[in-house]
Amino acid sequence: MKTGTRVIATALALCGAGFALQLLPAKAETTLTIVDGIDVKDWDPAISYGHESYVLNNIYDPLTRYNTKEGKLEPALATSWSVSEDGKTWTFKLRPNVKFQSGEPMTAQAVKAFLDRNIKMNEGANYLWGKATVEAPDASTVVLKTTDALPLDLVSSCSYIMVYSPSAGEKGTDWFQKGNADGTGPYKVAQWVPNQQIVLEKNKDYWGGWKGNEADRIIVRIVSEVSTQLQMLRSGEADLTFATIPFDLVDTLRKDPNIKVEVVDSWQYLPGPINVKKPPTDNLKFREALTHIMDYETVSKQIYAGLATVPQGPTPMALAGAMKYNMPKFDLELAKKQLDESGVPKDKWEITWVVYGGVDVLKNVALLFQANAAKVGVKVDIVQGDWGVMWDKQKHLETSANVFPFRQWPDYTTVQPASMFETQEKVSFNFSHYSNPDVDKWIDEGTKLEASNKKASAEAWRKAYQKVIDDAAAMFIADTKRIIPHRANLEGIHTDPAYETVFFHELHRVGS
Amino acid sequence: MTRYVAQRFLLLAGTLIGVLTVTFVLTHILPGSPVEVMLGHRPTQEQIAAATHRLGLDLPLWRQYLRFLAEIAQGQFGQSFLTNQPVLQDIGQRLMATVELTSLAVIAIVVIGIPIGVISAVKANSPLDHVVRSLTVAGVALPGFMLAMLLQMAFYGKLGLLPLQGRMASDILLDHHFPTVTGLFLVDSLLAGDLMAFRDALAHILLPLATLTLANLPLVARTTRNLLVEVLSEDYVRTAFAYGLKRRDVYFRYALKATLIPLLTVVGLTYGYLLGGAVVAEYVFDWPGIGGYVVRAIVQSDYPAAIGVTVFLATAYLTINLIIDLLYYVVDPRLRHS
Repeated sequence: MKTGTRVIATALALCGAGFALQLLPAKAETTLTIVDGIDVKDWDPAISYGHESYVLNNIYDPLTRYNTKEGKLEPALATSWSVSEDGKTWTFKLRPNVKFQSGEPMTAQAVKAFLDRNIKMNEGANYLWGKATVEAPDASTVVLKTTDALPLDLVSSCSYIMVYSPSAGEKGTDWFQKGNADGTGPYKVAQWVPNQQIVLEKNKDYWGGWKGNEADRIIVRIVSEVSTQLQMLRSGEADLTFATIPFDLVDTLRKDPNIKVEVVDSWQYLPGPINVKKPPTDNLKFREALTHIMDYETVSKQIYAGLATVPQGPTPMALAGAMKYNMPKFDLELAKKQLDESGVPKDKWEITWVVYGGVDVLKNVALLFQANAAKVGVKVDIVQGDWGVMWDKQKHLETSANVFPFRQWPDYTTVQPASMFETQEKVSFNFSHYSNPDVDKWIDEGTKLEASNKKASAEAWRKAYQKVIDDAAAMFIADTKRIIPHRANLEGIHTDPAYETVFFHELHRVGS
Repeated sequence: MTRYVAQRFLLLAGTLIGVLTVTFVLTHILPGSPVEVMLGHRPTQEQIAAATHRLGLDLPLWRQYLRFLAEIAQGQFGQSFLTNQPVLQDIGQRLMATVELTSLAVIAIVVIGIPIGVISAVKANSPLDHVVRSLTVAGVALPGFMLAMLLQMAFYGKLGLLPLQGRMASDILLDHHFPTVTGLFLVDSLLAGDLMAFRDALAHILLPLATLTLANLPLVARTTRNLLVEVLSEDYVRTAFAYGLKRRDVYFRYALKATLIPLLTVVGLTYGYLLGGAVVAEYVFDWPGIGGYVVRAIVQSDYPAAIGVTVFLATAYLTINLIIDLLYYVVDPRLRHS
């Protein structure tokens, strides 16, 4: 046989081998596959403060749970709670007969152990506890005492606050980091293959009970590429994807009769802090002009493909306590007038605008603003970089930019303005470098009253926000929604803006 | 020979220290701090300060460097800021995935590329040669990610023959446990006698393997062709034909041997390149290898991971080159007798 013929024969044999190797493992009827782009980084609930809450919120429960639709807190591991008049002592009554997945009982002592560990470690969202001291006077009562009045009922509902067993806490972070977990939630960890998959199995003793049609097993498959995620969804290999799908793909997905795209409310929004200390945005009129150069409608309708709304206030309307304000509108004529009135020389009409992480939406918003700003004579220099790099630069005035839009959401149900607008000696998220004693006073007042007098707290914060808007310390660009593409035969997609997850224990397939 | 090997090992150690120093300096002088990335979406100043102190990032750069060298000497590569796992563990899990993929790719490149190069050289300037050369140029010109996606669309999307991504199917990963002996799934599953796991691992590796092979095969094929065309014009080759030796013997036993030295260099360099350069295939196919890990580490200032992988890749690359240099002695009797 000649060499060429041998080569062709070998190639054909290899193709034949490909046919023989096709493996379609039979999918059990009660196994659902969810695709996500990012693996769990922190398995320890005392540290976890990122994307892994998508998975961990199905393994662990909080003490209370927020129901955004109803606008109220609901019992979870705690069935009732009360606060002293001064807002500094909280008493939680625990749900009886609840066990951790290891079989350990969930008692007040267990909750005390979890809280003591979390507060001592002070990582993740546990700063919210305000270094509380914890007592367990009996098996079903937990008492938390703080030096300042804090809304610990709301803090307890935070998606990053997850109750785990004392024995898990004793084993420590190294144990958790091997992919171990011990919560009270509806699913427990069966397997973790790093960067490949997480397999969760039904917790048969889940205190919330089961209807009978839920999945016995959930496989979370880690898939980095969006195109691969969508192929898996289209083929039916995946039932749902958590991953961030580009907004302009939503219409294409909707054309597929086998795919549905849920568009749900979110607490995520896009503020654009304007640096009040860096020229030329240290000029109030100049800043006001910038707020009128942003085309808010085009951002929501086109850049976000209709999956965002024009902000009606400085916090998203989906957030409990959000109020409507008189927000700046897109008006280039007004912007030009204000620029002329500002007194800033025309050759200084130049600002820097940050885009981080290569996020397309942020880049498109910047380009839109740049184009509109050029029409009124303002030059916008778009500065791109990784989040960590740009954040670090923004904290220091000498390296900061004039405008730094960033995706923001609160840790719990609060419209508190502190993180962005309270005076910070060492800037953390006050990217405007804004400092106003009245605003500080109102923020402080609102914070102190949040636990005991929500109405008065809201009024204090309203004044703070109004001043921030009057000072044009930020433009509020969009309130965004979440999109959750899934197979059309998957039902029970339960979400809540308070939790950036899908609750697995209601998911089920219908039909074939 | 022993002296030569010892000299090369000393050179390897010196080069590694240089690589370590350059990597350390580059990762530490670039703007931005990794602490902001590793602590979650809104860490407090107190948490940032505590983490910065714990990681020693508030020390002067020279002290950080000394601390770093001391830890490396003890085999301590620290914890990845992005995965929160020991860097050595991360590398261990990922390195063998890349080794499996790239080793098979190199074997495929050699087994397919060299014969193609020989055929092309033998039929130099014929229509077949032109077709082969055009296809090899196309193979190099087509971006790796596009080739990967086209293969996915064809073999998974349209034909449904091969899996889309990953190293193994979910069910197989869950239900077929085989002991990790080498970290190479194909080998470990065979050693455990688990044919179902072996078939699944093989099915999953085929598309990323095809991507790497098709993208890198042209270089070996063209190099073989060009070298062999020159050798085939030599007098001794003409003499061998005149003596009536079979064509196959002349091409593969005499002519091809003369091209082995430069060909070994190309193959060695390709292997070294693939170890770090398989990142595109790893991304598209979610192959849990070292390429994607190191790219994320560099982009997000994950110093320990970036440095750890750099050390391994540099060691691997230098070792491969050392092996290639030693193979010259095996292949070329003139070097052995000199």
